[in-house]
Amino acid sequence: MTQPVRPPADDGTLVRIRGLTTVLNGKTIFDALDMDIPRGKVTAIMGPSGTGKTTLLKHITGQMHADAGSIHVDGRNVAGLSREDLYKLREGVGYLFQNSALLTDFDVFENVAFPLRQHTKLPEVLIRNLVLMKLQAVGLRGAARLMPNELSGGMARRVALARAIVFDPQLILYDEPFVGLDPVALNQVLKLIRTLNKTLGITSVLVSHELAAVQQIADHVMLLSNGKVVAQGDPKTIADDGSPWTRQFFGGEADGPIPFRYPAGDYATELGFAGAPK
Amino acid sequence: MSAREPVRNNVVTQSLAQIGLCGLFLLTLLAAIPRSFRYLRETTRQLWFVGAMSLTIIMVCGLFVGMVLMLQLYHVLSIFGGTSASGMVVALSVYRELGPVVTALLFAGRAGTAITAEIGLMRATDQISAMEMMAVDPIAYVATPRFLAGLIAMPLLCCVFCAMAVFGGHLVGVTWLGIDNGTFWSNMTAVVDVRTDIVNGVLLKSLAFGAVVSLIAVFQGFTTPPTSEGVAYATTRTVVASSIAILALDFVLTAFLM
Amino acid sequence: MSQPRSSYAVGTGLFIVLGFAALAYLATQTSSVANVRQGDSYTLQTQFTNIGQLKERAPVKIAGVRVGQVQSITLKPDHDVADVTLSIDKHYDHIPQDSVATIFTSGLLGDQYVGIEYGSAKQVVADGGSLARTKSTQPLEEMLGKFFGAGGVVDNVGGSYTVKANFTNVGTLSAGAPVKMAGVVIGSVQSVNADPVQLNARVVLAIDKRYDAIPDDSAAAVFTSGLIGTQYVAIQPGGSPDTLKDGDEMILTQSAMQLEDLIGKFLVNGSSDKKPASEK
Repeated sequence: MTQPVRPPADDGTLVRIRGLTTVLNGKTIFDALDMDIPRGKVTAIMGPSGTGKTTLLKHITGQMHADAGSIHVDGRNVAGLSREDLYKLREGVGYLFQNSALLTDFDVFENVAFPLRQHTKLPEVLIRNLVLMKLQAVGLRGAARLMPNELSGGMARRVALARAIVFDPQLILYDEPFVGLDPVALNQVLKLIRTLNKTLGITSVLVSHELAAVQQIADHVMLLSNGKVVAQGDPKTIADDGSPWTRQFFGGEADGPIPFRYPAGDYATELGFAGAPK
Repeated sequence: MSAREPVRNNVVTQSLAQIGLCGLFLLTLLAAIPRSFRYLRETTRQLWFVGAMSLTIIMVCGLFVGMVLMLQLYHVLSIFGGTSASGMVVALSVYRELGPVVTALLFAGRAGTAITAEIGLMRATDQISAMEMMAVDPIAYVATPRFLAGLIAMPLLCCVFCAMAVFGGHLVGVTWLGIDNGTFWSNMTAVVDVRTDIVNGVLLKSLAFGAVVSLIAVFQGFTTPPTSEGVAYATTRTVVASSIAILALDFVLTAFLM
Repeated sequence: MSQPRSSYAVGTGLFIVLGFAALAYLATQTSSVANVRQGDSYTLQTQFTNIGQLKERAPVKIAGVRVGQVQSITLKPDHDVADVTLSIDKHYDHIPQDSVATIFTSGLLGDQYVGIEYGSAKQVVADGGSLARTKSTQPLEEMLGKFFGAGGVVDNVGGSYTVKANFTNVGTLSAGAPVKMAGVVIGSVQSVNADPVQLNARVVLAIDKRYDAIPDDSAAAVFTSGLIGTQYVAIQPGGSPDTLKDGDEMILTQSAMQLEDLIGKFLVNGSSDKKPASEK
């Protein structure tokens, strides 16, 4: 069941993005983006809010389609897949939503069992054991009968994580896994991501802007801005590579290449002073 | 005046666009029916929510509609000395019009809004996206079972409503106002026809209304902006659109079936 | 989870059962289920000159008891009579061949149904057989006439011959009115037309073939049944040895008395000349 850890090789790229271009509501999100996500590693995609990090994850899973360019996941072109093939691909991809997205109709156990029930005809005993194993992995076996509205944010995210790994996927996409967690819960999630990556060899893609957390676990960091990868490397080197992008982002400066202001027309004109007599 | 023109035009085109989208959505729903057979259990669960949970309101309302109808008819018909026909008139008016229409309006208010709000909230909390990510088709798993459940539940609810209305009419007419029991039933059975009144009236109309109400409810849930404001607005729109559709369709169906 | 799951299933099942029970109740207890009962039955052919408002699936009754329903109503292009097929319950398979099928109206304004009045013949009609003697639906005027004793009209399709009679005034006599002899209906008025040459009313009477021994000097009179009843033609037999043949003309006629004339004669000296001859 467990995916063997593959050594990083030349074909060690699980997700290959080439020339990705997306325009949403007249705003260019991605501008001929090229990106390679290595197999078996924890890759963090960082960037200021609104740079389309979540959109990128939706592209990878085929929930959204780009205007141009291609995305290959494990050698398959996502945009060219039929509905059945896409669904087959998604069975091998876990996705952790920002707000956990547990099904409110079901309790914790049934939420984790949901993908199994939908896609397999396993006997009830086996489903039960599989689900309890995954819940044990996230430390919530005792909460199996709680309803989603009885869980704290951190617990809900761990349940969602258990659900995402129930099929032992080869790729997990984490959409802002650290947002809104207290330090204890954050460290628990952090530990889980690392454990899953190390023990199961699951390729992990993190979208986040929690610098400290990312530096703890990521093997590879990509900094996304203005629709392009502006810097990448391992977390140690990228922080001191000296480019203005990284300096601003990791230094937290208010203004720099990442603009403070949303693009707008001339200020004085908009206030109505342009034609005023001097 | 001319400034208003584009606005009104806009409303018209918007409504037309909504109807068009709704029609396309219906096709999507119907196309997903074979795939949703895998989720039969979900359909059953929805049948419980939209059907069985609506029973109380349907039964109480049916009882009172029958009672008040009998009371009114008794006083009007007593002018002509025709009170014995009141049971028959209660049955006919309930089977042909009041039963399907009132049941559908109640159904829109009770179950339609619940469906819209539930789907809207599922979208707002990414549950629909999560299903897609778990390779579960949300149309086949969420939309079609609710649509089918509405389609099945409406005729059944309408039958219960009609039975309760006749019972209410009997209660007031025979027990309270003193119409002869035998006269009450014989006049009713002499006139009520299985095909024109029960099949065409109760079953066909309520089937059509059930389809329309659940289609509108599911459609509004799936197309509303996934925010709390959008969900509130969509819920209101479900009731308004369903009510208009029910009454308009009732006219068309009556014209065709009579 | 299996606990709540099965309770949904049980509840939903209960709901469905309740719904169908309500449907069964509506269908069997509050409606005329017999209308769709198509089981053991056999068919009879009948013909009517006028079916009025009779509809398919209308009840067929014997002595007021429902025994079947009207299966189909058709009109062949070359016929002027409607073919009505009756579907009758197998229980009632002893209908004499000379029974009369009549289209009745339940009450004054109710729906119409077919009533079968038993004849006296020994032979019974078989499946697919036909009832030759029928009475068609009657307009309201004739029904009112019936209340006042005018009696019904036997159609006897194809079994009549026609004679002509000229009247100076037919009053409100109209086609379909009964023709009576000795108060018994023997035929009906086929047509009432104004004669362009003689300037009087030409009435064609259709008389049942059974009454073929009417003397040719018999007199025809337009009578009114009761005070406000409909009018009919009464034949008063003469003494001639020759009988009326098909197409003959009756010489002796007595026109209708106008009610206004009568009343006027009683009340005022002299008569008013207002004759509502074209009332109908």
